[in-house]
Amino acid sequence: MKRKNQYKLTFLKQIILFATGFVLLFSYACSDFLDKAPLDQLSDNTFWKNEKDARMALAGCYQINNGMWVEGDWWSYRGLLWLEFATDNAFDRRGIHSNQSKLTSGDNISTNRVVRNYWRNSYKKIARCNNFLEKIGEVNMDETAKKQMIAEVRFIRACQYFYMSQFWGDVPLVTKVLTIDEANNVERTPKSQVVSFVLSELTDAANDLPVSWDPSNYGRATKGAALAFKGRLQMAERSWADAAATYRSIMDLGVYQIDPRYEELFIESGENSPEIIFSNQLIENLLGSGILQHHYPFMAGGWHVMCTLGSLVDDYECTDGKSIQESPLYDPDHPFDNRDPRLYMSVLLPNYSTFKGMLYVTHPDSITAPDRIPTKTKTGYGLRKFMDESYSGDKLSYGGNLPIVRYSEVLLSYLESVIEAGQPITQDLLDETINQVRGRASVNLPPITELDPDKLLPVVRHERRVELAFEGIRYWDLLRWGIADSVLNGDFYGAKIADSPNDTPYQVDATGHFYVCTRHFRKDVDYLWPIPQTEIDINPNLTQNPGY
Amino acid sequence: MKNSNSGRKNCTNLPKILIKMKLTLLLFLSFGFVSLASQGYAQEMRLDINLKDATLKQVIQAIEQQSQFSFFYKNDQIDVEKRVTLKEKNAPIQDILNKALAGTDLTYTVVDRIIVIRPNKFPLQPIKVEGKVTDEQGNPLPGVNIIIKGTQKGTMTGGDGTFMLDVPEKNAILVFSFVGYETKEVPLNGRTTLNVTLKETAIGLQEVVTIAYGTQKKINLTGSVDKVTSKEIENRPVTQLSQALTGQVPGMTIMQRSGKPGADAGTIRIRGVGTFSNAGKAPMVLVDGIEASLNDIDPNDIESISVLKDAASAAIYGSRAANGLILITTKSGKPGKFRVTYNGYAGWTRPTKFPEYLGSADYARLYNEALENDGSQPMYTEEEIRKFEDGSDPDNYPDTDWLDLVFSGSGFQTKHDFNFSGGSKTNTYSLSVGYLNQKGLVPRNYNKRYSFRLNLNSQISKKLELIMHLSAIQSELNEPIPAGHSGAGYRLENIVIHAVRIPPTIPAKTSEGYYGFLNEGVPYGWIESNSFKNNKIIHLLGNINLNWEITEGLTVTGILGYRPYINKEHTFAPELVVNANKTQGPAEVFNYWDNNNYLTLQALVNYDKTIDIHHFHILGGYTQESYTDTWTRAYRDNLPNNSLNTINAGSEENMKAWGSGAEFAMQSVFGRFNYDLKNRYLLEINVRADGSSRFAPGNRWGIFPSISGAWILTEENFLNDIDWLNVFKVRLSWGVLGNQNIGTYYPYQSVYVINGINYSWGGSLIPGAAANTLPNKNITWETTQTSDIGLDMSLLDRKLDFTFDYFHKVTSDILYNISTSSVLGLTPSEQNAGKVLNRGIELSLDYNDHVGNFRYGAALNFSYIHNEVLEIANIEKDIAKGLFVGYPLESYYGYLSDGLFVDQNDVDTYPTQPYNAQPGDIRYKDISGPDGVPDGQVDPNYDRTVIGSRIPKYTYNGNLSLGYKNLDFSVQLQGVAGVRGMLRGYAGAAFYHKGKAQKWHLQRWTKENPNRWAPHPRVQILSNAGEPNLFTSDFWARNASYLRIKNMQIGYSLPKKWLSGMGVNKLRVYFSADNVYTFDSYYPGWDPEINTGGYFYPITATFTFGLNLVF
Repeated sequence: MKRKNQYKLTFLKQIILFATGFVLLFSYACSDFLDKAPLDQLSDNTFWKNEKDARMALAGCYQINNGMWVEGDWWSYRGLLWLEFATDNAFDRRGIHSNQSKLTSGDNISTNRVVRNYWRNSYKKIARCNNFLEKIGEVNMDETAKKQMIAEVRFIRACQYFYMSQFWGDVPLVTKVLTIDEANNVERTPKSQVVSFVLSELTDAANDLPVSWDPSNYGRATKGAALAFKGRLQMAERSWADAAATYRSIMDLGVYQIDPRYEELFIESGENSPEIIFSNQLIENLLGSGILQHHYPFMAGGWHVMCTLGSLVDDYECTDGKSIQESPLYDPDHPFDNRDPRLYMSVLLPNYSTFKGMLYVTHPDSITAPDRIPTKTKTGYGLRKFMDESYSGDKLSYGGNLPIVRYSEVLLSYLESVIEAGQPITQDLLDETINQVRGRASVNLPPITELDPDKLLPVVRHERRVELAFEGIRYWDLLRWGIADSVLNGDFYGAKIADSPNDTPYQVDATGHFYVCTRHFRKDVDYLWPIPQTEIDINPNLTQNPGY
Repeated sequence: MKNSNSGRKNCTNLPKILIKMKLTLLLFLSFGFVSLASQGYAQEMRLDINLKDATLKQVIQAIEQQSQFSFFYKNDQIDVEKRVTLKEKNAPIQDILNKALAGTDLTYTVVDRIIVIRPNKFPLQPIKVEGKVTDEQGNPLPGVNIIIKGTQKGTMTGGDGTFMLDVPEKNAILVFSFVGYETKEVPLNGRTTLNVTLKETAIGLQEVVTIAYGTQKKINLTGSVDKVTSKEIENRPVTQLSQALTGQVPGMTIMQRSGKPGADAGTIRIRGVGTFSNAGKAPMVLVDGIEASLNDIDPNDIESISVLKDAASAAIYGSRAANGLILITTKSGKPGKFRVTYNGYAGWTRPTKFPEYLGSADYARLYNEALENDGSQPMYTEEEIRKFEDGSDPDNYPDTDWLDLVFSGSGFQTKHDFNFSGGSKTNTYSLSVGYLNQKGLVPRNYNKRYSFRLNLNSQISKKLELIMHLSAIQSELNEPIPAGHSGAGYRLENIVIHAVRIPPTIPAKTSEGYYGFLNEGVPYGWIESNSFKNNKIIHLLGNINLNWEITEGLTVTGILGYRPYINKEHTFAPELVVNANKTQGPAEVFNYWDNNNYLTLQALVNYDKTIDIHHFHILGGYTQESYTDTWTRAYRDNLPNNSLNTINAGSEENMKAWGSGAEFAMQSVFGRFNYDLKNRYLLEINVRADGSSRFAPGNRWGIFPSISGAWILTEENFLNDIDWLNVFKVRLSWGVLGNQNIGTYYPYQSVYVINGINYSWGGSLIPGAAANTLPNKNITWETTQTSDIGLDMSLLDRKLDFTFDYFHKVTSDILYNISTSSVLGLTPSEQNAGKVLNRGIELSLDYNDHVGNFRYGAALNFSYIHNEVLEIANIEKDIAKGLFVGYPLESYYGYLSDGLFVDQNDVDTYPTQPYNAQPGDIRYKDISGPDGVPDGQVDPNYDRTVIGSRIPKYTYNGNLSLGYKNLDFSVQLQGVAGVRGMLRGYAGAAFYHKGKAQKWHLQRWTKENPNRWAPHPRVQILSNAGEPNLFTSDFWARNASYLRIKNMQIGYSLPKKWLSGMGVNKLRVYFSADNVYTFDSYYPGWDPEINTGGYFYPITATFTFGLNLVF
């Protein structure tokens, strides 16, 4: 019996031995069985080797959230153009509670989604730039090209901080790739430090960037682009003389000029105009934007998000260069006759503009009109600028580049800086700046001759509003001029729908203009945005701006 | 050992030699076949014996040394000291024994390798006994094992339930046993014909349950395992297994969030939600031992399901089973007559609850009120509202019920399953084919499923058994989708969300044939179009098991499992002319092809040994698993017209292609040791080591041990005399499990995404790359430790079964994707940083009895789960992910509401709100401040708190079944409590982002009726920007507890005498209703399991007529 058990145990041992051996053999034979790498992503070990890799990473830094539903990228149409909803230029069809509209309605709160998205997307780009700058040193490539790439990336990063400093004031200044711990405990850097960082970065970038790129690289950042953003920041900082010098240096580059065309600057046919200093690059279908879907009028199958306010429409001069209050050419019964041609190229006017061969009708009584007040347009006006009438492709994926900085802005900014800096005003100065802008062939307004700086300043600010309408500049202008609390307080109206309040069931002003909304810009609060609540939830070191 | 001495109390009335046989039988049963008396080994074995004047004992020893024969005898019955002389060469055992026992009153029986020697007191002439075995309903039972007590001699019933057997003695006792039925001993008492009825095992402790790598009697389990049998599933006309399982197992919570055909499975959570990582919260599912999904199996093919809840029972699956384990065994054939069963049903579905929206006139009035509340102009004049009301101008003033138009499908469904089974003693088969056609509530929405399964068991030789399972399921899911280039998405729910949003004041279709729309949403046009997303999904599952019984008790098993999955998706979004100026298009077509393959190789060694009162079982094994996935997608648009929808019909100009792949692999070694002393003290130890490709080489391997024990008190003397207590067992277990299932994501490697990072220079597309994630080289296994105390009782003549479990489960090193400040700019990788506790109790109670022809049974179960986050990295809360230390997972975090502001005075005197409050807005409570006390200021940093969780705290279920003669009736009540749900976006508040309003919104706050407790605040035109009245608060996160009449069923089995002429053994007809009624206090019109922003599909109630037929 004993022996029998022994036999069995031995047998068991053999089996176990065999099994163990089998397992070991198998494990050995397949020692790399558990080594698996991603099949569709590059790994650090294989990346950052040559110029091609650097180029890919560079494109990654530029890459912009063009998508239909992505908001909060400073250089996408939803990020840039929709800031107009917070101004006296336009009203968001989605109402006074809409994300952008709230920025100045008096109801902005720290959970506003668009504020969070601007924050998030800015830091996403900054992280890509920081990563690029940390890794590019390893790459074996042409040193000049490398230097230019570094300058481009520093430009992109500086621009993010430019915007952030303008809207939040103090923001965490991050210049390297952070660890999770660092990111979750970061503190806000005083605005002054952010500003000096941006200025020095842009100065360095401008030194290294080329004046222009060969056609196959069109769209990459140039010296002019870096200087333009530098000028913007100097203006915001009221360093007027510096700003004027910066802008002068752009003019002296000699590569930009005012395009005789105006309408085409904002659509595909004029996207490479010498007036464009920097633009977001788009390609139909492959890298398109939904700008046309969002803004086309309903009658053309769009969503008519941008509803122009009467305030802007009324600001366009008559062809004699006088305001509608002053000009004899203005006829209240035919308010759109004899006006600054840019009005027709920027705004859809009721019963006046035609779009794709159709008359734009918005009167509330015109039941069958696709764009009627108040069910569709909330003001009676629509957007004409950027609306490429000839386009017949997918409205969700339009390929016309989106201008970020135009030469006309540079000229007007230069003039403004010169005035504010107290430098002498001459007719020559006016002729090489503002009169170039308003005198271009397609606009052809009479030249400005006002040499008194105090009187000239409002003229320049007016020209700026009209020339750059809907381009996302107005909101920033109102903030930096410190006039948002007066401009954005009170009622806003749209198109005229009746002769007097008695003639219509709708609320209108004394002259029958449709009531749109009331804004209550809070002077002590709304000049700065709230730090997103989701960020404070994670990192209590981030203090909140006053009033939120 | 030879002296299988007395003392085993429960065996004293048996011939002692049976002791070992009983245990062997258990093992045999567990392999699903019964060893029949066979002479195979004895016939082949040749022995040399040369002994002179040796004792019988020496002869026996000599034989045992030379062969695998074992002898059984009793010392007091035979004289082992009797001297014999034998000289045999190359002789069969029979010759040797005949000679050795010549001249004694001893006889012997050879059963395989076992030789029994006993006094020859049976008459030599056998008696022929015949009979038939049936179940309680009178259906013949084929394959029942019959053994003459005290021997291993026996037979099996044939296909018609009859048997014939030679018994040696007229007073012999026959033992009838059959899996799933109670074993019955029948004394012959001289009879030669016997009709025996076997009782199905109530959910009792005697039943055999499938456990990891084997089976075990429930009585011998040391872990916490629940069993669901085919009986509980078979007659339930459900399309998804999870629906039939809902409520059946205490501690298993199933939440169904959608009723869409093919997507209507519930999410299964066992013992709470163990983790907040992406490593998965779902239990592991094994079909016949191979990891699979519930989609890989047709509910009709299931023989039984075991749910392994604690670490001890799941431990042998170590890394994969942290969230529990569901083991599914499919039906196999039984020897005997060819048998055909048919199960079929047909019925219809409707939503359990359906939101009701305001008609256009009411909508317009309420909309005007909202505009007025916002200080804006009214949009609709009285005149216009009158037109909405009278319907005189349906083109311009319609009253459209959008949801009605979208949910206008028939909801008809039907299922047919055939099973063919049978076989010989050595080969059995079971073949089933099934068909399901489930039409949705939306036109052109259906799920057609074809299933096929073949299970083969083959006893190749005495030692070698081959088991093969092969199944194929093809599902075809079809649904309408939005039109081409609409930007609305490519799924049915994208239509629904637009139907939920678009107001009734927009016409579905005008008399000119133009479709009404809101932004990109054209719900009716999409429904009327010929759009589709069509998925043909093929699930294949095959495995081969080869069992080699090397010697008694020692078995080696090799398993090969292969599971390919193919998903062919064809999406066609046609061009849709919306009106004269708006066309959605051009048409788009996508083809998507996904193929993944899972391959596993396993080797197991089982050793079973009984020494006296000690019983050991040892299992050792090795497995390796590998998984690869590849997919490609092709795209074109600009198809010439809507009648063509293949890729080549599209334009080459804008064509695109995508594709990628992923893979992972695992290796594991494991062992299990079971020890059982005197059948009453049970011990089990498991260890498993797992290696995963998802971790860096240094952190790859994890070791997961477990230990468990049980004590069957009723085997002890002191409890033996209590009549009403049949079984009383206490279980204890502890174990560790791992989790690593973080997708095909490789957080330890630093990677650059190259997809979708393009930019453009000079008008050409420039490929880009970006580091989007922050790698973490240090991550390793997430582990779950579970302790369990359990109690099993069987009472009142086994009519009442009671089970109780207390468990304590802590998951640590959770693979947590920490919410990071977006200042980081990158998505962080998972870290091992988090700890979650689940503890709770589970109770189940089962009672079955009958009074004459009236049968009744009730089953109740209840579970309570306390779920708590113990640690999240080093922070207190992660609001974005709903994680709060000290609170349950999936929590809602927000303000506590205190009704609505009734007037301006109320606003002025109440604590200052975090927004510009108006009368009619929600009052948020001031619960704290910077100093820890209310500060008169409601602030997001101090006044938000955890409101509740989406995970139910309590789940309970009750089944009641009644039967009278051929009539049966059952009802299942199922419920959850301590849970919250929330409707967001278009589904919740009125006028959200241009959305519409529901009937219950009329009970809002108004100036005229400033009700503090109105269920909806003042109406406003709400944006999606974060509206004060939509802040997360307990105003919106509502109680989602419910009690459902989950199923009601009435059935009638036709009497035998009507059927016998037709060759039918059984015919039962039934009517069944699922999700009949729900009691809840959730949002009116919404099922409490729905949490949505409008992207949803209602949960359905099903009413069916069905038929079970057995030939």
